[in-house]
Parts: sequence; C-alpha cells; structure tokens
Amino acid sequence: MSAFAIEFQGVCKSFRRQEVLRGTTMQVEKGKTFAFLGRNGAGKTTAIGLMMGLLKRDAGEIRVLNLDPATQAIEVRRRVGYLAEDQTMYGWMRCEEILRFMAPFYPTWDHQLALKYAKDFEVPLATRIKHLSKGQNVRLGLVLALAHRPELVILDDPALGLDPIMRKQFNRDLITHLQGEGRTVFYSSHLLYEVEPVADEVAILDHGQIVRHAETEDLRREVKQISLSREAAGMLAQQAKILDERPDGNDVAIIVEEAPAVIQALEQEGVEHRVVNLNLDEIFEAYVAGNKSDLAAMQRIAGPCEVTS
Amino acid sequence: MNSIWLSLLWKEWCEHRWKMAALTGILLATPALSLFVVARASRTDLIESALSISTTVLYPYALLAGMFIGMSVAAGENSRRTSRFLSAMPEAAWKAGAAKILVAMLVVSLPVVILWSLTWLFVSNQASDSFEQAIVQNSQEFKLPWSISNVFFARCVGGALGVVSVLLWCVVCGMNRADEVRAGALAFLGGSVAWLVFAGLVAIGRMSLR
Repeated sequence: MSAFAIEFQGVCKSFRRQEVLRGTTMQVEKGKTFAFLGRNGAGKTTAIGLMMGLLKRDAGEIRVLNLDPATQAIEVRRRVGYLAEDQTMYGWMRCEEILRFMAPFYPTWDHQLALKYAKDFEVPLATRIKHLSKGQNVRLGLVLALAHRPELVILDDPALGLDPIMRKQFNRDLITHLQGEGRTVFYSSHLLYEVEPVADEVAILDHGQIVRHAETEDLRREVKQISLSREAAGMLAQQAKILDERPDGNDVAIIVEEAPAVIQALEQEGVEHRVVNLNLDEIFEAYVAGNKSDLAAMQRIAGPCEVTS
Repeated sequence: MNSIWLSLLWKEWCEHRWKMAALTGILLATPALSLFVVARASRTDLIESALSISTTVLYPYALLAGMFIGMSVAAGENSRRTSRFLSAMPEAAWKAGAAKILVAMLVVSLPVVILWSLTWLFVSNQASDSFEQAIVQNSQEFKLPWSISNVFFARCVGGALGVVSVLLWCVVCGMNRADEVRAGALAFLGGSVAWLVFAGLVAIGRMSLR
C-alpha cells in the first residue's frame, strides 16, 4: 500500500502543439493538505483533469489512491471528492434534488451526512441552484464532494470569485470538516494567501513543471529576502540560487533559496545585510515571476565588470 | 433498473418535460384549429379533414421537433456548462448519453401518439358506416388498433419513427458542439448532405436500370 494519495511521475500533456505539462513529477502524502499553486494557465486544471480521468496523459505515470485514472476512472471518481473550478451544476434542480440525484452514483454516499453538511454550510435545500449566491454554490459543491466520505478531496480553485469574507468562511469550513477528519486534501489555487493558513505542503507549478515542492514551514524558512550591497550580491550570485532581485535604495533586495546557509555565509564573511521574512504570496511570485537564472541575476546585479573579473 | 439509471432518466425527464408539453400543445392545437375552421365551413368533410390534417402536420413536426430536441441533447450540457460536472460523475459516459437519447425519443414521439390517439377517437365518434367501409376495404384488420395495416396505427408509428429519425440525425451530427445553434446548423447541413447523396444515388440507380 503506497503512502501517497497522488503520484505523478514524468507526466506530459499537450493540447495540439501547446505543451501544458512537461515531465511533471510530484507526490502527495496521505492525510496532508497539499496546496497546488500556479498562475492561470500554468497547468493546474489539466493536472487535475488527468487525476480524475477526464483527460488522457501523453506520457508518464499517474496513481491516485493507487489506481490509474486512465484505466480506472470510475473507481477513482467514486473514491475522490472533486470540486471543479467554477463548477456549474443544474440550475433548475433544487439543492435537495441534486443531493438525491447524486446519491446513487456513490456506493458510500451518506445522505444523513449530506444533510448535516448542508446545514453546517448553510445551504438552502429548498432553493433552486440557479438562485444560489456564488458562495452558496461553492458550498453546495463542497457538500456533494464530501457526502460520500472520500479518502481524497480535490479542490480546483474552489474559492475563485468569492469575496474575501466568503473565502475565509470557506477555508474555515475546510479546516473544520476536512483537516479535522484526517483526509487528504489537494487544494489547487492561484490565491496564495487563501491556502497559506491551511496547507501542510506546497508545490509550485510553472509552465507545466513543478519548480518547488516543500512543506509550507520549510518553504518559509528556506526562502527569504536579503537586502545587501550590489557588490556583495554579485558575489553571492555565484554561490546561491537567486530567485528574484529588485533595487532597494542603493542596495539590492534578492530572494534566495536555502536562505539559512546563505545568511550564515554572509555572517561569516562579515557582510552587512538585512533579512526579510516572506509570506507564501511573495515566495510564489519569486518562483514564477522572478528571474531564476543565476548567471543572468549575477550579470544584472554585479554588472559586466564583476563577471569578467 | 438500478437507481443510477433512474437518476439519469429522472434528470432528463425534468429537463424535457416542459418542452414535451409545448410540443404536444403545438401539435394538437394546429389540427384542432384547422378542424374548427373546416367544421365552420362544412361538417361533411370532417373525418377526411381530420385524417389529412393530422397526417400533414407530422411533416413539419418531425423536422422541427426532431431538430429542437436533438440540438438540446447534442449540445445542451456544453451550452449550460454542465458537461464537466456530468463527466466527472463516477459512471460511464455512455449511460448518461443513452438516458438522454431514450428520454428525447420519448419526448418527441409521445405527442405523435397523443395526436393519433385523439384523431382515432374523433374519427371513431364521427365515422359513418360508409367511411368505415372505405377504410377497411384495403384491410381486414382495421379494427385491431395495433395492426400495422390500421391507418391510425401506421401513421402514428410512421410519424414517431420519422421524428425519432430526425432527432438521431441531429444528435449524431451536432454532438459535443459548443451550443445548440451550432449543433442545429451542423445537423441541418449533415442531414441535407446525406439526403442529397441518397437522392443522387437513387437517381443514378434509376438511370443505370434504364
């Protein structure tokens, strides 16, 4: 029995000539809340489509709860709770009707639990879905995703379009009902502050590849912003992986990986510097929008003279 | 029948029941109005008029109702953006498709059955001996309502098969289009081309026989 709820090994997926996933590799441990981060169009929804057996991969291996979604899609869907991005349900159905409609598809469906979740999430059962607010719609989707007691819950940007209060409420519900029960949650989002309080692990997807996969706390500890002189930054560029740099008055503010080692080295050299802790949002931005090339960073920071010397 | 099938059929029935009511209303109102006009002009032609009007309305009905419901079956989920929700359900896609087609076939053919049942009732009440003889002279089984040689049964079955045929053409040609209009346009194009090819082959066959 695998310890992982989801395993991706060198997965590739293209739509015509557009390569969306390029050798994506990741593992999601059972019982963890896993934040899958990426910009719009990074390939998050495609990866989820592959996990649910809605799309066929071009290459690589995928296991979801030890099943291959390409050949065992129905079994995967029975055991997984899935809330799609901007999920559109049948507007003419009343909430209680959609609960009864969905029940036969899941052998483990617990109607009493569905009614309990509907009550907890304040879903108006007698109302037609087309008359629900955006927040109620998302919460109804969550009821449908949870009422069959899934081992794994996949949420694809579930809070998309919700206002900040609603997002907080949604995350509160998520923590109460999922993390409390020890389920594996795969939470895809491009809103970092949304997943930061709930995620145990984070993977950052950029242009179809996982550029970083770490525990949330490790990521916060290892990626930091350091402000230092241009000359010192130029020297540092040869030793550390710089994710991003920006001017900071007369100095330069760089964001580095393996920050504890870099800071230790700077202290040993007696280089004057200032360390700034980053939130997940800033770390994400550094990975997907920052300059990831050490050489390019070094050239820009130290200038051509520094490089030639 | 297990509850997954019941669930799928229930959903389709709920989506189409008002369309069926509208189609039935239109299909019954047209002959009823026509008969009313005929009745005001002359009572003697009522039976023949009922038969001919009920037959005539079947042609536009088969084309329009078949396309109307077929477009909805072919592209309704995509146009309402519910296709991803449906495809993510833990059941084989062919079951959802089969439930859609079965209910759609019922929805388009039931109004035809109702029309011809009412026509049969009307004619039975109005029929004189001479008319009945005229009908039965080509058939000894006129009084058996399920016999194919019964004019009512034959036209009812013919009409139902016609509208189901248009429906299936529309579903096949318009399947998985982004919206109903595209599905309908493609179905019309596909059906027209198929019939032109068929007519062309028949013409060539006749010419070669000569």
